Amino acid sequence: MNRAAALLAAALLAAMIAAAPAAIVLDQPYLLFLFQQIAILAIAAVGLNLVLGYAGLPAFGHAAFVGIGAYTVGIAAAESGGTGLLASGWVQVPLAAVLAATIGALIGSVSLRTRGVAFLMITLAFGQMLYYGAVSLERYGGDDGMNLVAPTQFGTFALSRGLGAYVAALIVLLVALYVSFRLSRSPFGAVLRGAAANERRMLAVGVSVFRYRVTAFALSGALCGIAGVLAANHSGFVSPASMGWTRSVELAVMVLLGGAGTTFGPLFGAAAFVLLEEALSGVSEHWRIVFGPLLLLIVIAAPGGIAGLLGRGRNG
Amino acid sequence: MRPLLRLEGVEAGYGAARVLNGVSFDIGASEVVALMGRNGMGKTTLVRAILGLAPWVRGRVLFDGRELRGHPTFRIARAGIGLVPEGRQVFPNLTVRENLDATAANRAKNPAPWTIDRVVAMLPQLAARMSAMASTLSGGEQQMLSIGRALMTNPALLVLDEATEGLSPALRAEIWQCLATLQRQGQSILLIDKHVAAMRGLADRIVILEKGRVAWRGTPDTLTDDVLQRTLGV
Repeated sequence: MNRAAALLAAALLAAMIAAAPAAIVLDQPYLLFLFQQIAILAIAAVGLNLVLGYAGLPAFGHAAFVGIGAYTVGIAAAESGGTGLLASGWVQVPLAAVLAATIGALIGSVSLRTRGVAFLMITLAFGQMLYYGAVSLERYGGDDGMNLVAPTQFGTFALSRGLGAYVAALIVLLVALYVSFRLSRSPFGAVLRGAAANERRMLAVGVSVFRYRVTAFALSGALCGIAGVLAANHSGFVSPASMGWTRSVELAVMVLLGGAGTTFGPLFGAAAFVLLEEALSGVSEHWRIVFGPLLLLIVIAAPGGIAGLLGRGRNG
Repeated sequence: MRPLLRLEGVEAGYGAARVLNGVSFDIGASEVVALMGRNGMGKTTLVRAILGLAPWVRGRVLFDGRELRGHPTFRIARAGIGLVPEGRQVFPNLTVRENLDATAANRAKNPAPWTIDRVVAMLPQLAARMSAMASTLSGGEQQMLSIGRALMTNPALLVLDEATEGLSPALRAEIWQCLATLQRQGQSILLIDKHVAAMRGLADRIVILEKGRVAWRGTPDTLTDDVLQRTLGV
């Protein structure tokens, strides 16, 4: 473990925990909103990191899995009217995770038969297929999306905006980071990382790399699906825009910016991305002209991302 | 008794270039077979043909009576063929322990399976380096790791392709020692190396390849200087 990266992650997580009372004391709910956005994007980035980082596969359609999670909540809420079994988080969250994992495994089992640019294009194409699938859901707002009829309910606790939802997002983020940490150090993670270095060599020692990678796709999809549940509740809105290819590229940029294949890289990347976006958008309305090249510059100057800049140890 | 590995008229090559021209020989259970030949005679191509890594293969490759041709590489290796490849080829981005853990297989089939503890007992140089990244190991340590990694697959047949290449005499001696121990434990081995004297000391049988064909086969005590001069130039 890279000590500097672990310290920065601890500081960042401490700041995220401190943001909750700070937002209340300073009466700045936007602070909570911003940090919750970081937490949710970090969870999705942790999911993508399993495939893009550890397995070294350039997947560019992961926003679709976030969308599957979001639409699961949106549709369940719309159909249940916010009451009954379908409105329950105990149903919505597992359903979103299982759906995203299943579709992830299906996409993985097809796209993993290709390599390089073809793989990238197929994952992108699958992502866009799901995007257009969401656009075609006229009953659920089509291209315009839909408002969330009711937040996800865990008994009397509603996963809508506010302190409770923020704490829930933080807990999910901590669990996601822990799962990613444990997976990366397990034989499963070793196979993914070893195959990223040399797939042929891994096959020659008797490992079915394909199965491991499909499993990584499924786990990755599940994490992104759970991020989608949180995102839908966070914004109170579900729309195809959140699952388009630009969103997928943003997630990939977060992983690369923070440090692909490292435990805390996705957290660093999501935080840097959101805070940079926030800072620049406050300066000028043409902030994207600066934002894009700046991200490009950072990724080129620090190919190991923020975790790499801190001195990359074993798995960041 | 049925041989562990049987090669019948194996032909293999790369595109239009044919490297193997009908190689046939057997390896029995608990037998050590040394495969010799000058550079470019097809030794590594034969290993690749056995493991399904050559672009094309014809003839029959039977392992424990089952045809291997047409099966994916990982399944062939999983069937019980542990490869120590030419050039070590450890996973540089994994630690020593992860290199061993990632490839552990076939434990249930084996009454006394290889474990990390058993590998370290056999290759004690790895003990102090378990948490080190494989890329930071010396050449000798990487070779030990490569052998350990192959043993972790609990192979019925261990294939070593130039396992002592580029190593100091002391390290080479350690590897020969290790192979002798494995031989005493009943491990079947297909051995490819350039050190003829050491191979003669270890092997039960020797096969010499020349231009993709078996030019000579026999026991070490029947391998004359004349044959060595004619086939290997030594």
